[in-house]
Amino acid sequence: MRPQITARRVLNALLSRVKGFSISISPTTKQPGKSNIVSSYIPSAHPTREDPEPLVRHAHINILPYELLTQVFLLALPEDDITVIRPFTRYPQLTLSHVCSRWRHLIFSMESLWKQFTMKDEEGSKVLGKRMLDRVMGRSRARAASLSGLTQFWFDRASSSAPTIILLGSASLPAMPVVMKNLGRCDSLALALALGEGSTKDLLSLFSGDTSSLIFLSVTTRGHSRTIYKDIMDTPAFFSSPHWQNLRVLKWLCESLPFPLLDIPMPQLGVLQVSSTITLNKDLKLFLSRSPNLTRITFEDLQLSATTNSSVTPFVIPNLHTFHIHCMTGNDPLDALASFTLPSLTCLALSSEATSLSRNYEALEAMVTRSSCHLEIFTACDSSFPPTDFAGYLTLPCMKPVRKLHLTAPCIQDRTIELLRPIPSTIKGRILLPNLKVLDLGKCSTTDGLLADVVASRRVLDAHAEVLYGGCDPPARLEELHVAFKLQDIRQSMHMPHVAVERLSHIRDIMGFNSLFEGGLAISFSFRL
Amino acid sequence: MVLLVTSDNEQFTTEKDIVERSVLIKNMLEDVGESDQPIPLPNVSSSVLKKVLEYCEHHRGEPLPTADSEQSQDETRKRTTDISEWDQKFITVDQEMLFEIILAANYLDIKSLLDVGCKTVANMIKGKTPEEIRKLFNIVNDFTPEEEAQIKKENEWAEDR
Repeated sequence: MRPQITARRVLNALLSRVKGFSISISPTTKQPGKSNIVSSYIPSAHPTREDPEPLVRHAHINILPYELLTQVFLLALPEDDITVIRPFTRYPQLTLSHVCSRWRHLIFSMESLWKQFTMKDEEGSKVLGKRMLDRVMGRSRARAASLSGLTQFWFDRASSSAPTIILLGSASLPAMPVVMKNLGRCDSLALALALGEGSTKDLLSLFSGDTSSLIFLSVTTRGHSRTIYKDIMDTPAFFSSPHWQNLRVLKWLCESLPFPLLDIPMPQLGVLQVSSTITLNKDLKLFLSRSPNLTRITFEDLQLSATTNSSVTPFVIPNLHTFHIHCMTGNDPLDALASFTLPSLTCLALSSEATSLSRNYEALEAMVTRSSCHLEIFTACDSSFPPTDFAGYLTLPCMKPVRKLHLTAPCIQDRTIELLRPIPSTIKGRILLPNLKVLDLGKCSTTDGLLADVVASRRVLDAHAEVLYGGCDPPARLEELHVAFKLQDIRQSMHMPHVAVERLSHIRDIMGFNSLFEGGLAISFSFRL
Repeated sequence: MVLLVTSDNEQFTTEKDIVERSVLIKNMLEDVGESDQPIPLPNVSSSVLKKVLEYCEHHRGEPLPTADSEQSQDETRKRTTDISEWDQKFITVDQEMLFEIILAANYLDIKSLLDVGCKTVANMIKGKTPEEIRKLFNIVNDFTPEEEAQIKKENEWAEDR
């Protein structure tokens, strides 16, 4: 029995029938000076909007303080951290803000809900074509007003001090005047350029606005690139805007669009990612040399010019710590290293498409020696034919400091794994990668049990290391292993699922992993075609 | 054994490892040391404490969240509103009790129970219109005419057409 609560309920029911009589009920809140249950029901003044609490306390949910209601709202809203403004669909923040004034006030005060937004097409980004664009871009004024209104609503809610990120595609064109008006508050802009009547130009016209806060820019493309490229080149505001002076992150994620910004100095640039083909020539070197703060570069299709390997003096990028180079057209990414001196480099990733050319491993060693840098994380993705054993990389002296190694190839074979087995100095004296702690192997096609055996040999306990290695330093203990075994072309004739067959073919490895895992090694493994 | 006294002066004697799922009580016991003194819980009624102790007894022995795990949970809490079967049955109570359990879990600092309560309310809200939410929780629509006009406009922006 809960007599107090029952009394409250009866009293509540009686008093609520009196017209114009508002009651303040708070079953768990003690009111000073009102010790008994009845006195707590004596109404004070008629509630006003300055004192909204009494009106909403009939609802049990409103006994929750703001901080708990905030937790509930965060759980009730969609998982995506980014507010998605889709024209013509329900918008969950709005739904909650339309319940009562208390909830509306709380939703509007939750800054985390108003930090970034994206405008998306109704059906997502997979559907392309003029028909879709016509529909989404708003054939009716109402739809344009809808998107524009929601965008202004969002900006009104966003804290003026908080940096904002907006992601805009062609669907957002109706809201462009609103975005333009508020552009000075955006520090990050992601543009999705697509084919459409003037849509690229309209999006890029933003750069004639106040872009003084802009420090992050990413550009992606969908649709016919030549037309889009022409639109870009025909938009002077894009190139002449002063925003490039402050930009810290630039992601040119347009595979089929040439990078058009080589002539523009970006002195504050720290992160550069270029997905389209870019040639390592004097223009690129000039561009990079104007950005002394670069710390991370990713080239997803670096082409080497005829002069790349000539005797030009390598130029210095003083703060670069992470460099990813991928060559798609048969070039050797190692050749590119001859052009650089990178004293801060710790993380290097080199990858290339299939090629039968031999690799210029000496260029890597020479670059590291010239730069006096220490590689700690090294990634090699090599599709050479015949398959590489990675010995060219792994035997280089500059690999000694590497603690995290990631190798990917269509088919990693026994020879590569054997290279990783430490051989005590008293016998042959070969310990490659003595500091290795994390090993990540893509598509292993190795003899069953070999990998587990080699990994175990890099997990020797200190007590045993003394015996095995004598006075020499033993290798570091491996702490993490990630491996993908290659699925063979085994047919279903054995009436067993494909992966099950592969598991059988690596049963010794898996058993070995089990005991290594129990010994404290973090392991993940999978099977891939 | 630990003696707890509720806001309605009812006394509960319970085992230490059950009641120590409450960080508040755990800290109190650590501060006071070995003592027969009852612990007053002025913000918790007997009916609510009974439910809270039922929860603590069921989950006794489970590891308490550490500061690190709490931080990582905070990051993932937004992403899941899953509730275990036993917890779902446990929290199937009337709304008054539900919200009082949430308040008690917050006061007693029982993170997992607070999560169960908040997730339950969130699941009740999800997918409903403002009117349905008002009806469900008996919330009064207290918007001023000006706010109503603004909300109407917002609805026009956001509605399906």
